[in-house]
Amino acid sequence: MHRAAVPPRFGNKPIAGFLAIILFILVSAWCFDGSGFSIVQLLGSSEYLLRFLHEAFPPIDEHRLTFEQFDRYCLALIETFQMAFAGTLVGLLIGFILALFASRGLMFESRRSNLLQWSVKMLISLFRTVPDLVWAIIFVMVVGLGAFAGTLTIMVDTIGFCGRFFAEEMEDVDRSSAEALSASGARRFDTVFAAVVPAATPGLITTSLFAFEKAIRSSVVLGLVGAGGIGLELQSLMNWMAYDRAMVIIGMIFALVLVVEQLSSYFRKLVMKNE
Amino acid sequence: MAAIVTAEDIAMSYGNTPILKGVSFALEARESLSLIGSNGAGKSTLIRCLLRLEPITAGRISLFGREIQNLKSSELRSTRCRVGVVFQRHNLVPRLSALSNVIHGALGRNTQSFGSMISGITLWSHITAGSVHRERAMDCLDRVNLADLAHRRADSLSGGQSQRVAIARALMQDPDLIIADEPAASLDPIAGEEVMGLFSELCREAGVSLIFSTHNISHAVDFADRMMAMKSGRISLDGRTGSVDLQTLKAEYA
Repeated sequence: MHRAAVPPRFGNKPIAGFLAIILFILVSAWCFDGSGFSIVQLLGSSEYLLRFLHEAFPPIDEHRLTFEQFDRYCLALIETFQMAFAGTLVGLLIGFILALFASRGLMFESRRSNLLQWSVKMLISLFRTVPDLVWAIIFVMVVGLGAFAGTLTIMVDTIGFCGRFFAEEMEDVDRSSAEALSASGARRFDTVFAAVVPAATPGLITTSLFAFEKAIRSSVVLGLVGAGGIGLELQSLMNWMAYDRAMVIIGMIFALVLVVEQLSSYFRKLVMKNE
Repeated sequence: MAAIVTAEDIAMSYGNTPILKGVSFALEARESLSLIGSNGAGKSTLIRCLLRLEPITAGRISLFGREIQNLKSSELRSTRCRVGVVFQRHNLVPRLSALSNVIHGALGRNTQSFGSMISGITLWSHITAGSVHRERAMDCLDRVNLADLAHRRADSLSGGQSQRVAIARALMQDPDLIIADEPAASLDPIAGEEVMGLFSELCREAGVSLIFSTHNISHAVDFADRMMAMKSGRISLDGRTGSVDLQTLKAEYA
């Protein structure tokens, strides 16, 4: 018996692999150069960081942080949460509807529908690829300063995020049970909701929870451009160089994000456990 | 008796590979027909073509006297809803209860008017379905001896139980014909025997016609009045199950 030879160590295209590594190193070097990444500069500026920390601590000092102020920060934090929740909810709903049409061969199956599917996908991409701060600036311009602009921003962001992932989750569902229903005369619309959506539910819930986490994080910074929430307070304190109170807000944001992430991961596990 | 299924010289190919090469047969009401043949002989394709899940390239297929190639989608649905279909696997919606899955059998009957479109929405799950449908679905589950597992999720059922739920769903359609593509193939021998027995008994009781494909020659002989053997896209044998010689069949097709 003649045994086959041992396969070569570096696949059958060693030169191509080698060139790819060289290319990767070159591109990395080029990017570090262009981004001005410098350990020396970072260490050299530690003086400013120390000054910030020195002024920020102790963050709570009865002479500097009043109860009225703390009250206002709490309300702003609650507003941030409300913006994120309401925006996510509306965004999920619209994102789900768009995803139905962006999902390949789900609602329709004909040549004409490819155009529709493509257009919906493009719309979702537009929502996703334009950064949330840009949306926030636009909505502040349209509906004015305040929480509503932030909520709309979160909504658009969620549509972009969920529209894409919902569509992919529904595309990944095994279509054979939908086909079985369709073979027994069910309408396409019914097969989608009776067979595809139930099968995709865990994925849809997980994505929704991620979307909410993402919304909480981004709702914090939306205030920086005037779209409501606690970011607005943070920005004005930073401008006034009131680093101690800014630190209080940073701590509150940290706590909120942490709580939401823990809760979300708890619910995710709950969903997965029922699989 | 009038034929409820007629296939006239049908041909079908995937790309340039011909799968069916001129298949003709007719099935009469209350008749049960088994299809045998090795993998790739064209059994599943034939079954899929009969339901218009795959388009044929030549020939004619009629179900209940209607030529299905030219039906509009609403007419196709009203024809399909008279045919209960059971596949080898992946029949059921995994995350829904057995009861919900059975209720889905009524979806096809609910597509003809605007009002029925609305009531169709209630049939997505047993939670929203009307009590008439819930009761009827329980009756269907009872006929396959699964009434006590009605609340169980489909993905927690065994292979044999899933197949019985799929049969209950087909019964929910109140069909005139049941088509099953290797319904026992993924089951162990005992469960397979049970499922096939259930099929032929229910079909005989309700006067429903049956077409099923199988790799099991004894199933093909025991549970059908008539059998057809397929070989490379053609029907190579067509006869009453009583008249064919089991030994020759086994030698040739098993």
